[in-house]
Amino acid sequence: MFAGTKTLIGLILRRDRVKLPLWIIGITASLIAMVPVLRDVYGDEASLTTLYQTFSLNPAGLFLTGPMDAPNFGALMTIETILWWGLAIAFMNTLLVVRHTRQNEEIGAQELILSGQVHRGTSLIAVLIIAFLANTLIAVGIGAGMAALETSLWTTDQAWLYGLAMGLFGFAWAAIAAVIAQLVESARSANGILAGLIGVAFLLRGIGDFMGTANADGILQPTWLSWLSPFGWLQATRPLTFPEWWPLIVPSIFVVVAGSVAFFLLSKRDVGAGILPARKGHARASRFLGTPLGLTWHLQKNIFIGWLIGVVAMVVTIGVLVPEMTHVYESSENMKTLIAAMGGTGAIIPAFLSAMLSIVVLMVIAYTIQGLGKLRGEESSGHLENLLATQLSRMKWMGLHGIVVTIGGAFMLALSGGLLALCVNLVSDYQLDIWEYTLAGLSYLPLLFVFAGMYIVLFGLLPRIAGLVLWVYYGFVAFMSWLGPLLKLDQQILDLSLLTHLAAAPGEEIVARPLIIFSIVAIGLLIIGTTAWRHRNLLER
Amino acid sequence: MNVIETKSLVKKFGSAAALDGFDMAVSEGEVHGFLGPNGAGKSTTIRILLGLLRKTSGEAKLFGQDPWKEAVELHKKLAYVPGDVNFWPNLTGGEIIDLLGRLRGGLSETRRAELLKRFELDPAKKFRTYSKGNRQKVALVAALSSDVPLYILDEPTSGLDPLMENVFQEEVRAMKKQGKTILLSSHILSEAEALCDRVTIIRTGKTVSSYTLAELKKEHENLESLFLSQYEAR
Repeated sequence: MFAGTKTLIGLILRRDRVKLPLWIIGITASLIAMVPVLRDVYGDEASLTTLYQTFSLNPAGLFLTGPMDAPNFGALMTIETILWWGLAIAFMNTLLVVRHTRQNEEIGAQELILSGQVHRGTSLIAVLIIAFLANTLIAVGIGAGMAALETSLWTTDQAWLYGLAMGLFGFAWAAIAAVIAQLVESARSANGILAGLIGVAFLLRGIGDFMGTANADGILQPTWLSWLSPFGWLQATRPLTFPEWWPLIVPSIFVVVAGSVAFFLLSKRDVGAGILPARKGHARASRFLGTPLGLTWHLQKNIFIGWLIGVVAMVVTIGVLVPEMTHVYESSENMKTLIAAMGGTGAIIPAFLSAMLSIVVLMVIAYTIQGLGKLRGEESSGHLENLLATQLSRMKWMGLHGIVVTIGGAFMLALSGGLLALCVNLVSDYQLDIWEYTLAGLSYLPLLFVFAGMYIVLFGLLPRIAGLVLWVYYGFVAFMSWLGPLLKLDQQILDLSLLTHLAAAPGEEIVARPLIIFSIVAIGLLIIGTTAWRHRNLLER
Repeated sequence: MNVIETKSLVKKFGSAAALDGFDMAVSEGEVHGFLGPNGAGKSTTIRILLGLLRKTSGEAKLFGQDPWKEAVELHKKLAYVPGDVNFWPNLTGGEIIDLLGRLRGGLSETRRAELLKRFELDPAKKFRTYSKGNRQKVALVAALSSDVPLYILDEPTSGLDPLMENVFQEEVRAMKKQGKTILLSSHILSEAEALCDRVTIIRTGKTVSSYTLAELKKEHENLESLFLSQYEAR
C-alpha cells in the first residue's frame, strides 16, 4: 500500500517547489502583516467602538465578514481576516489536491506512475500528506507569528487557536477535494465544482450569521445553517474574542469521514474514469461557434465572466459598506490621511468611492491583460497554426480578440461606476448621480487602451515574455496606487505609474488632456505592435 | 503548372539554418512524398508554404504566388493536417471539424458524414478525451471534408491503426483520381511508396534527391533501401 509514497511525495515537492511555498508564505505573511496595518488605522478605542456599533447594525457587513463580537482589536482582526484568508487557504488546498490526483490521471501521467510498483491509492495518500504539512506550516506560521507580534491584544493560546483552526479548516478542504476528484473525469470540472462548493459554503455561513440572534452576553449566535459550512466551523472557535477549542472536533471528524469516502470511491472506480458519467458534447458546432467571432468569444468567455463576477462582487461590497464606514472615517484622523493619500480629496463619500473605484479599475486592467494573454496562449499551444492555415488572416484574428477584450473591459468599467452609485443609493440616504459615476468609470478607458497597446507591442516584438513583462509593470502600477503615496516616494517615480496622471473621478473633475494623450499613445502602440506581428514568424513554445 | 515550388529556399532561426537552399517542385494532380529524418526541415518548409514563417531568402511559391503575402487568398485552395495535432481541449471533435471547415470557406456535409463513418470517429467527445489516434482522425476529417485543390499533410497517419491507415490510403487514392494535389510528409516509407507519384528527400535543410517512383524502382529495391542509402553513404 505504501510502496512509492516517498517517491511520489518527492515528485509533488519537485513540481510545486515554487507554487506551494508562495501560497504558504503569501497567506501567512499577509495575514500577520494585517496586524500592524489595522492597528495603525483603527487601533484607537474610539474607532473600534464606532466600528463595533456600525457592524452590529449592518446586515451586509455581517454577511461578508461575519459578526464583530466586541469593541476590541481581536474582534476587528477576526472580521477582517478570518473569512478572506480562509477563502485563500481553501483554494490553495483544493487546487493542490486536484493538481496531483485528477490532473495526473487526465494527462496520462498516472498510468505511467501506476505501471511501477505503486498502489492506486498512493498518489492520494502522498498529496494528502503534503496538504497536511502545508496546512501545519500555515497553522504554525499564523500561531507563532501572531503570538510573537502582539502579546497585549490576545493571549498566546488565542493566537495558536487561530492558527490551528485555520490549518484544520484548510485540511478539511483538502479532504473535500479528495472526494470531488474521484467524481469527474477532468481536472477542470473538479476545480469548477470545488470553486462552486467554496462559494456555497461561504454563502451558507453568511445566511447563518445573517439570521442569527444575540445571546444574553450580546454575542451573535449563528443559526444551524452555519454548521453545514467549514467556514462556520472556523468562525465558531472565535479565537481572538471568546476562544472555544471544542469546535475543532468538527473538522477533525469531517476529515476522517471525507478521507475514507475518497479512498472508498477510489477503490471502486477505474483509473482515468470518474464516478459520475462523462457528459456527451455537441456533435456539431453551433452557427455562432463556427465563425471567427464565435470562436474568439468561446475562448474569451470564461476569462470575461470570471472577472465580471469578481468586479461585481467587489463593487457591491464597496457600495454597501462605504456609507457605513464613513461614520468611522469621519471620526478617525488616521483614516482621513489614508484616504487622502490614496487619491481621494474633497467630499468624503465621493473621495472614498474614487479611491475604491481605482481598485476596481485595476481589476479591469488585469482582466484586459489576461484576456489579451490568450493571443500568446493560442500561439504557443499550437492552436493558432490551425487557424492561420485557413482563410482567417493574422490581423482579423488579433483584431477580434482585441475588440472582444476592450468591449468587455469598457462594459466592466461603465458597470462598476454605475453599480457603485446604485448600491450607495440603495443602502443609504445619499443620492449619487448614477450617470456621473458611469462616466467616471468610463473615464479610465484610455488607460485600458494603453495597457492593451503595450500588450500588443510586446506580443509583436517579444512574444515569449510579453505576459511576464506586462504583469510586472502592472504589479508596479497596482503597488504604487496603493502604497506609493504612503511611502512618500519621489513624484518622478510615482509618475511612472500611469494611474497618477488621471483624475480620480468622480471625486475630482475628469480632465480631458491626459485622456487624449493616452488615447494617442495607445494608437501609436497599436500601430507598432500590429506591424511587428504582421512581419514576424509564428513562434510555438 | 507547379502547385508548389521552392528554389534555393533558406530559413534561418538566428544563425542556425533550418533550410539551406532547398528545392522542391510539386506539379498539379500528383501525390508528392516529402521524406526526411526528424529535424531535417520538413515542418519548417510546410510552415513557410502556409505563410506561418517568413523565408530568409530564395523562392517559395504556392500556385505561383507568395505564400507570405497572399496567405489568406491562397488558403482558400488548401487544407492542412498539422504534424502536432493541438486543438482546443474543451471543444468536441465535431465542433472542431465544423469550425475549421467553415473558416476554410465551407465543408461538404456528405463528405463530413462519410469520413466520420469511415474513420469510426465519435464527434461528440471533447478533444481532450480522445486517444492519440482519435486526435489524428479529428485533424484528418477536418482537412479531408473540404473540397480544395491542394492538401498539405504533415505526418497525417501517426498513431493510426493499420485498418485506419488503410482507410487513409483509399481516401488519398480517391482524391488523386479527382485530380487533387497532395503533399504528403511521412516517416512511413511503405505508405509513401504505396501512394506517391514522386518523392523529395530532404536532409539538414537541403534537397538530397527527387525521384519519380518509376525511376526509383529501376535503381533500388524499394523506397526504404533508397532512403537508407542516402544517409548511410554520407
